[in-house]
Amino acid sequence: MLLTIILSCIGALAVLTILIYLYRPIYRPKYLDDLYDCHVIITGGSSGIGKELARQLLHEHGARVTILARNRERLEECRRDLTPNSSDRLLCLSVDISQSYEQVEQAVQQSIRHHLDKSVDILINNAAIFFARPFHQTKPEEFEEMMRINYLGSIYCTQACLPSMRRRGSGRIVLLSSQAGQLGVFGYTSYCSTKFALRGLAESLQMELARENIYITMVYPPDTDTPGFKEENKSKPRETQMINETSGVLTADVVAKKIIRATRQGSFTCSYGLNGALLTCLTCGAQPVTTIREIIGQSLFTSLLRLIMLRVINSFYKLKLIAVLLFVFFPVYTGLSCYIHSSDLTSCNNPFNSTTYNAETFSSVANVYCAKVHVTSLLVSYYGSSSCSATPLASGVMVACCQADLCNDVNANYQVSTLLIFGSLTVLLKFY
Amino acid sequence: RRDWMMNWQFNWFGWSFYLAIIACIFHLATAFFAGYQGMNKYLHDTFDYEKVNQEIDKRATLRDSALRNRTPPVERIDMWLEFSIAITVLILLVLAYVLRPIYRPSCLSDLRDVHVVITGGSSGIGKELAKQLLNKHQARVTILARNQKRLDECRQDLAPDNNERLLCLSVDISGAYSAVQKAIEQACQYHGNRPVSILINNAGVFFARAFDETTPEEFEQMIRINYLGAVYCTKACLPYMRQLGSGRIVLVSSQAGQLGVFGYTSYCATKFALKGFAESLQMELARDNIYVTVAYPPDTDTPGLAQENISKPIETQLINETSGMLSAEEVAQKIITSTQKGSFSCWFGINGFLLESLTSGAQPITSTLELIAQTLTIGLARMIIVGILNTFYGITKNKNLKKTK
Repeated sequence: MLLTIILSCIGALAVLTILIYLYRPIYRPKYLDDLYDCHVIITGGSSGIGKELARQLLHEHGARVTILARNRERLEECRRDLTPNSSDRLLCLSVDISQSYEQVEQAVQQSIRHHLDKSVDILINNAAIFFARPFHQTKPEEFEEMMRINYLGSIYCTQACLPSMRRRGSGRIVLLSSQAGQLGVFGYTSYCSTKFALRGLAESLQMELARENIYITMVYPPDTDTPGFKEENKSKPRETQMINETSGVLTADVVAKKIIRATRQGSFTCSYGLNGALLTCLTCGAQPVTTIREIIGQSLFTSLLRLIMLRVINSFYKLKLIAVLLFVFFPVYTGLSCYIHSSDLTSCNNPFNSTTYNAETFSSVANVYCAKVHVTSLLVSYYGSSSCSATPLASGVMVACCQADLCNDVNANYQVSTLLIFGSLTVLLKFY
Repeated sequence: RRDWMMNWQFNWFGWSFYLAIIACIFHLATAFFAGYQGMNKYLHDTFDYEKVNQEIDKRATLRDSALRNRTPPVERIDMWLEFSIAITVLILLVLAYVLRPIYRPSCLSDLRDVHVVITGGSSGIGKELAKQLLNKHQARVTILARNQKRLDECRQDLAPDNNERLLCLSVDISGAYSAVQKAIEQACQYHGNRPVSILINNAGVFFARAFDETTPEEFEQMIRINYLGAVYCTKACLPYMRQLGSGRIVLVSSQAGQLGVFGYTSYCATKFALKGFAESLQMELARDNIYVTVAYPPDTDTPGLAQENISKPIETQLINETSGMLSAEEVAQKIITSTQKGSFSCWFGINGFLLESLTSGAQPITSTLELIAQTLTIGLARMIIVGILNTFYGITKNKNLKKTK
């Protein structure tokens, strides 16, 4: 008996070691501890996420930053804002990165010379335009312009910075995509394709640059509170607005902070919130991994996420409240839980062990399970409505786990009350 | 919030589903009341401590005997079995409803006299597509390509008896939108004022070259032809499809549009862009009864591939040896079948199936079989692809590969 246990343990360990070797992270980027005096180039850095990135890199990390953008006035404002004492750590250059490669190369050379001949350490391709418009209302010139700025601009900048990164022997390239670069949404025909293109570029480029110790990070921020976002909101089609309401709006400094952290770690993706993590796991496709945790999580959860995502996409296509599920889930789940717990209560052993067992204890147990069932069905019916997001799902899972130890914990009233408050608030906020 | 009542359509599926749900609710309700009765019984019985202790003893002896015999009490099995079967059936029904295919394209079984526009159709996959559509399906085909000489050769090849079902037009689809618009108009007029039914965006250039050896102009040229060309053609054909009330748009991507490989930095980006374009476009066109298909063929035996092989980097060659090559005929046949069915993605072979379920991401489904296949395969496919990627990275990490030809 003991022998079999030992043998099976050894066997399991052997299998685990083989699996860990086969699926070891493909490359291990070194963590960039010290960003002091690192040469960072940020394109499109005069407003929005780029400006926040420049601010954090300059003030918190003491790096040397170059900002490339088109609009001179905004660049001047940005310079006054970030370095009021005209420090030489910040260089603002006005260049249109989508026009020609020679201009970009010149700008990069100028920036290297300015920053004391330091080669580029980190390149952040943030310059992009975006708007939401139905396909038949988008002009062919707008398709071309968007592809030029979003995609070709990043290509030119990357090509210009690579020689100096190679000389140095290490580097980081950041490509700012978007959650629209993970799934295609109504109204973003032009924008989604440019962001998907960045992802194709990143995957193949990483394969070429892995041996040169240069690592690529793709960032997938959701809607971020920037001037560009406000501009986009003026002309957004109604369908896109309804879809976007299912995910929240982040502030630029939260986005920038996570970008800097992901760049230092060298991970391939950077996503925000539970929604972002689930989307990244779902659309992981053939992208490289840098930690074992990623591969385990992705293999386990992608199937389930595909099912969930189909539900979400269904609601995007239909765009009307499928509240029939409200009326199906609610009674079914309530009946289900009551049945499970009533039979559990009749067979549950623990109340018999307690010497103070009496009618009061029993009724408090009944109250507990009723309340938990109520909260669970509230949350599940919320999930069944068309505006679906991952937060209620997570709460539902939490509640289910709490219900599992119903029999063992009679004094769970505090648990139930917090869940009840949380659940009711969520539902109230959504429906009223 | 009250319009769900007006908008829900009661077809036969909905009715049977609804009845099944009601039946399950009844079943659960009766079971619930039975359990509730049991609960009430205990509420009364707890005032009698003697009875409670007897109950404890009885259950203890039952439990001990059960432990010794290792057979659970018989009554509970029946109840639990019935219960679990009911629950499983219920959950499957709900899932089947919630995850039903988002849209159901009708199968275009008869392609006779259907107006098909094929871009880049003078050689390779496009030519095969035109051949099959003309000969097997008797459709009316328009081929758009740049090279006039190749167009003439193609015309002689496909329509030796001056078949009027084939029209070959020389136009650069990546040049100006107005040129594309004019060409499509000309084609529709030639084919007896038939609006475009099926558009196959096949035109594409490809070559494999390391990132630093690719010039910026080559990047621009590739994205213009592969992506912008497809966008312009789609935009030009859409009004005709809307007029007709139905349509199919095919975007020929590549397996390089599902995973990024060494040497294909420019090409992968354009093919990924086609996928993003297709996903958002489908969301806009689903209500117009126009369906988008993206095809992911592997290496296909065409003149374009022969051209590419001349200047391929050694690492890409080593990587491509792991997957096989298909003939243009097989590829064209599968593309036509998928277009007729209206499915969102068209994959080739077992490699293609694994890649498609792996990179399915957020794309729509058109049949429940696709959903089941994708859900079951994704986890495994992710692990397989990481192993494969490890091999690819291992190949490319070796800097001292001799360039032998």
